[in-house]
Amino acid sequence: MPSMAPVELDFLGLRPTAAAATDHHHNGSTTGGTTTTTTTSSSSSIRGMKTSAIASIGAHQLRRVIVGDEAPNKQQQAPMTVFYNGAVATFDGVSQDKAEAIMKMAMEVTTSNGGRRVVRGDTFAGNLTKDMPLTRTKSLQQFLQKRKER
Amino acid sequence: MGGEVPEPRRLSRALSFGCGAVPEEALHLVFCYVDDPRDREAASLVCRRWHRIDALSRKHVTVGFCYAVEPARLLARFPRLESLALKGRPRAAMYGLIPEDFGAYAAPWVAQLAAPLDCLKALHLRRMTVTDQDIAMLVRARGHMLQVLKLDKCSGFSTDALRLVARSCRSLRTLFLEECTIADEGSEWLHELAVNNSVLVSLNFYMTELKVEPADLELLAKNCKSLISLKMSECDLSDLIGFLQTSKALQEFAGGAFFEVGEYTNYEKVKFPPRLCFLGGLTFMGKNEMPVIFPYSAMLKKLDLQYTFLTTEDHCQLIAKCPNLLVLEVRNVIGDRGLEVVGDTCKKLRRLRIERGDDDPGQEEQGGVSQIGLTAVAVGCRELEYIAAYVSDITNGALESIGTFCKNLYDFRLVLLDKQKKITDLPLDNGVRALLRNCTKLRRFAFYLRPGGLSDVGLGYIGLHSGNIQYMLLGNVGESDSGLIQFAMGCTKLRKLELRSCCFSERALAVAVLQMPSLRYIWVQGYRASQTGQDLMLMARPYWNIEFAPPCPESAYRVMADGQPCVDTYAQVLAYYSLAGRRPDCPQWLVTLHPA
Repeated sequence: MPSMAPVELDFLGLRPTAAAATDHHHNGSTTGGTTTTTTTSSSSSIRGMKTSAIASIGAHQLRRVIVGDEAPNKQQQAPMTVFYNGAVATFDGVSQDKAEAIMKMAMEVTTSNGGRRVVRGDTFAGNLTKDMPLTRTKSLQQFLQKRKER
Repeated sequence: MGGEVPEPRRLSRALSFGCGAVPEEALHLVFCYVDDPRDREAASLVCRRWHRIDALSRKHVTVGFCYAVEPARLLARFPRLESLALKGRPRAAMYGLIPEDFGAYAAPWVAQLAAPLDCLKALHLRRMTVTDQDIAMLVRARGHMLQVLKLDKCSGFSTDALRLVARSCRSLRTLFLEECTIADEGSEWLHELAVNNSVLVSLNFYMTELKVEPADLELLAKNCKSLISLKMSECDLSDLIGFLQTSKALQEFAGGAFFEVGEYTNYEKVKFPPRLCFLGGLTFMGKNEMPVIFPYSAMLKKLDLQYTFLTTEDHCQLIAKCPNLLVLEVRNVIGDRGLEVVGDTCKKLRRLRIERGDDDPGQEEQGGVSQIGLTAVAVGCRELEYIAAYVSDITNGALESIGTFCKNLYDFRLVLLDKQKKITDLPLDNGVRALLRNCTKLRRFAFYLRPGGLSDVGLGYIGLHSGNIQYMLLGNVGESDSGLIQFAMGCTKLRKLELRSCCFSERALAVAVLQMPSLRYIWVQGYRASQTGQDLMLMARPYWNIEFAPPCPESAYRVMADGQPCVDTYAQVLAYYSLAGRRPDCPQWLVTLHPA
């Protein structure tokens, strides 16, 4: 099996390109080609999806997805190096497919409302303010009650 | 209200001794100067030796949630503890949102710690269930050396237990019972206290329903020459004239009521002790009775007017006479005008609390606080460390002003009341960003709005600029799950989070929790709950307890326009790190999802 360069995912946005890619509005679709890369170091995206989305997955979930199904596949396997939360981990046997699966999962999570209809705050307005009124501390409630009785 | 002022961390990395080069005694001495629990935590991780010395020299521990650790483990770790604080029920219990049978029993703690902790002389239990038997056991084991007993918003005991304490704990300096629910079997406990104790410094049974005899208070004042603070249940002020005359050292007084409102002549004779600088309670005090405190107003450092009948105008008049106030607590009847007086007069003010008055406009004329009053206070009171306000209206500008002028702010809580239909300036994205960026000392933050009050972008700002904030309460914030994830990604130092009345899904909650590396406790009520809480298992991990109160049956069938479950009003999630494993005493309505 030909060796591939290790895939580096920059969770912390240490690379300027990754930082530039961070914004609030992820698009859910895969765009062909890579995003703009201004510096020489490793790519900060996989098939156009923003790598900063990775940061929204917890480490153990990441492991679960990676370790998950061990079905043999013919895809090229390369060690995946993950910088996350101040720690570095290298995972062997992570295929490009797996990495993409992780990305997809992150996207799903972060766009769980964006993907479907976004429910804006005001459509809830009626429900929330009716169903969940502000409550008072007991002490103040008692005082106001006593006052009414005078 | 938690009132700790944060100390800068001083533990220097230069403290590196070679192995065995420094004698134990020296290390012990050095450790005695290290007070901050975070510093202690860091020191104890250096090596086994330091761990042992920390364990033996740690004087005080606060257990933030009583189910996080077992008593036996605490005993093993800190056998020489002198002071212990335990917190039980979630904070929401203060607002009537937690059923009485939640748990948080003091019994196992007293049973396993009272006797073995030889050095214990101070115990503080907050929002826990304490029985007479528990107190009896404590007194048996530690009564002879107990100096501080604080039962803080606790319930389950009676005045019989207080009698026992009064008789047996002769070294008691502080007896604190504020806001406890206590079965009143008679007032002898106070008499016993007066007769048996001569060193009492502080007695607090404020906001309890206990009935006491003024004569016993006078006796207490006579015998306890060092009594500095008395906060008591309601008792007509005219009955306390004798006590107030006798208690020469008194500096703090709260309680006292004006039952004969309009009859000022009854209260003309009330004279407060010469060193008095804190006044609270004063229940039902109105305009006619206000002159009682005028002679002392210039000296006052702390003033609590939450239970008075004063109008906006009265507040203006009174506060104008109090230039030395450090702490002021009022209802929002103070109005913007009153806050302008505060801003002009109270230049030394450190803490300001503006509580929610009556919603009925007939009761609180001219009441209500807005961006006008808040800005006036921010500009005028630059020393503010704590602001808590229920506001009727707000703007981004007011929040920006607070950020600009109140650089010492370490605790900020804003609740937007829901009565006024149109708010001047929403969403508050930019205002909250400015506030958080500029108030770098902020450690506690509460932001309770209404739908539309804060967008996902704004919620992301809170995360991004959360800095060193350790505790947050958020209500009605954000628009979608995306906002919550953005928020969570920024909160690196957040340790405790309370969320209420938000639109987030269970899945997003779980994923958000995983993004917050310092989070050790989260409470949520009002979110898009499922019947089983299944998606919460996304955050399952070792030592992370997940407890779930399922939504009520009626809301199970309510769905939103997009087919997602409606925000349910009764479902609760409580998740926290615990070394004790699964809770053994959950009430029926609380289901443990993890550990299974």
